[in-house]
Amino acid sequence: MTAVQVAERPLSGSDAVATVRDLARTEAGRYARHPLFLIGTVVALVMAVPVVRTRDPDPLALTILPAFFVGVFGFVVAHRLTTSLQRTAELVGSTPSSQRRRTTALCLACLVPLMAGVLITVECLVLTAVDPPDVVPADGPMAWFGDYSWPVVVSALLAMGPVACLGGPLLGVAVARWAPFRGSALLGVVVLVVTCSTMASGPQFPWRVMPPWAALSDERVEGGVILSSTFPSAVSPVWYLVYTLLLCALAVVAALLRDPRGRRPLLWTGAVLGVATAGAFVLALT
Amino acid sequence: MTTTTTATFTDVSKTFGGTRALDNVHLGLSPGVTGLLGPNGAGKTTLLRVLATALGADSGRVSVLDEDLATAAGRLAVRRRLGYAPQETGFPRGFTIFGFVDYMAILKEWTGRSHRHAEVRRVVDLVGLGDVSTKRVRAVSGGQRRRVVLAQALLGHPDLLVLDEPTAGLDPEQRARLRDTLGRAGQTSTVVISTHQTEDVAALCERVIVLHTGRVRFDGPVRDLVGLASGKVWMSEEPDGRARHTWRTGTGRWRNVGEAPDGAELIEPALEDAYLLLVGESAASEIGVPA
Repeated sequence: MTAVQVAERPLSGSDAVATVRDLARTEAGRYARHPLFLIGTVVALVMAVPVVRTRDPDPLALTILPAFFVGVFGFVVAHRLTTSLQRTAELVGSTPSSQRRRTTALCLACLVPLMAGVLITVECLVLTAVDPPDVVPADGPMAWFGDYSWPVVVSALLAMGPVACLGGPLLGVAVARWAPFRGSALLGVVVLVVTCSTMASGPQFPWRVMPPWAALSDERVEGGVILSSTFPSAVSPVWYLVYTLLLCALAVVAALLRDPRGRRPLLWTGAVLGVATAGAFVLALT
Repeated sequence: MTTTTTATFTDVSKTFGGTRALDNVHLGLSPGVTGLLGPNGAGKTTLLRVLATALGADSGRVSVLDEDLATAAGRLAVRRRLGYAPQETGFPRGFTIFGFVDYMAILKEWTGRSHRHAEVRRVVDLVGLGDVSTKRVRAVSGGQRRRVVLAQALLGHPDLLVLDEPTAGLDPEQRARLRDTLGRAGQTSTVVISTHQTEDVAALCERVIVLHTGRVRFDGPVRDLVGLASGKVWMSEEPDGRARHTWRTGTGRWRNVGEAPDGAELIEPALEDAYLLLVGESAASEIGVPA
């Protein structure tokens, strides 16, 4: 037996913030090492290159890469990380850390896919800037959002790329907390993808911007060539970004509400967020 | 050693469906190593789960480390001073042995990274897994996984150590090491182990509690339980039909347990003999036949 110096337990254990921080670090490491996350991120990073090289002029359309390969895949990753502790439920339940603490840590770990989404979006912007789209005809309008202000363009990019990468995993945590049965991850992914693809591609407002991921750009195509990308006139990308961020916050609250203890403040927070989300949605349509 | 009571069960009952797992259990636990014996379904695991705050009692009062387990604050306070190794547990994918014990240490509120890692290394070494600590938990043998569960229970020298069948799946050398570890822990803490191995109880425990059909059938020093079988164990050349239990030993002779006939070759009883007699008598009294 190896002689090891006995470590003293540092505190009585009331430092909840430090515990959540350490848990979040561990969960973030588990997330970052998950094969599905690694595959999704690498595929999105690699696929962005040929997509740009084929002269797709719309960087906004490229955000579907991180949204799908990091956001949708992330739903499954976060779901699996959350339910993985079910196997150890009795052991984990005998520790002083509550389920709410662990849920908070899992939600914080979802910053990993957010960072991946930012990385892929930046890659798309850089590639598009280095190798800009051809303008057809040569004196025609510049293809990507030349007339729009930066806040508007950046809001749309963030909402459709990185925020989708955050929202998918957060939704995965919430679904895993409330429906931890086998197959709920697959079911959740199908519902998420079908909802976004059917509603986001439809021409009718307000349904088009209701899902957590919506196509915010319209393209003018002539002879098979994309001449310009514009935002639909009835949508504010800035408020849509606020709307999606509030949806993320609602997912966190929904996940935390699974722990029956001390629900009242969370219910109030959820109610306020719900009203704010509805407000942001209305403003996104004006 | 002090005689302070660490945990008290007062008329505690627990029912699953139509089965009464604990039936008005009344006992107190003190520092030292206490063994919990009983046949399958006797209520051992239920008692340990209640003690480890994993399960609430239906009725009665459970007080552990001066905390009432009926309250959330009481359970939380106990969990901060508890080490628990359940009978069966799964492991999340992807964790190494060190990583899993470290994760449990975080859940146990070890927030300083260097302190925590030192403590994790200590307990991993203590259960003899130091050399394989970088291996994935799900890739190691069942016995090693069992020791992973033990390692996390030993984190931080808990005041109350609750171990459900800790020696299951361990080889003789590992069992000897575990006895040493638990014996040391019992010098300062209350250690409660459930087991089917009477030799573990005989080798390790100062006190033994025998449960049968959810009730406490014996509670006292190991030597007192062994004393119940004094004069009731004998050897014979052939199986003795008057014995309650009889089996052929390695010498080719037969060991008999029960009411010894006159002139029988009496031998020193072992804990197992006493346990068999006690549980047999309890079972007989349950169904209303003379033991």
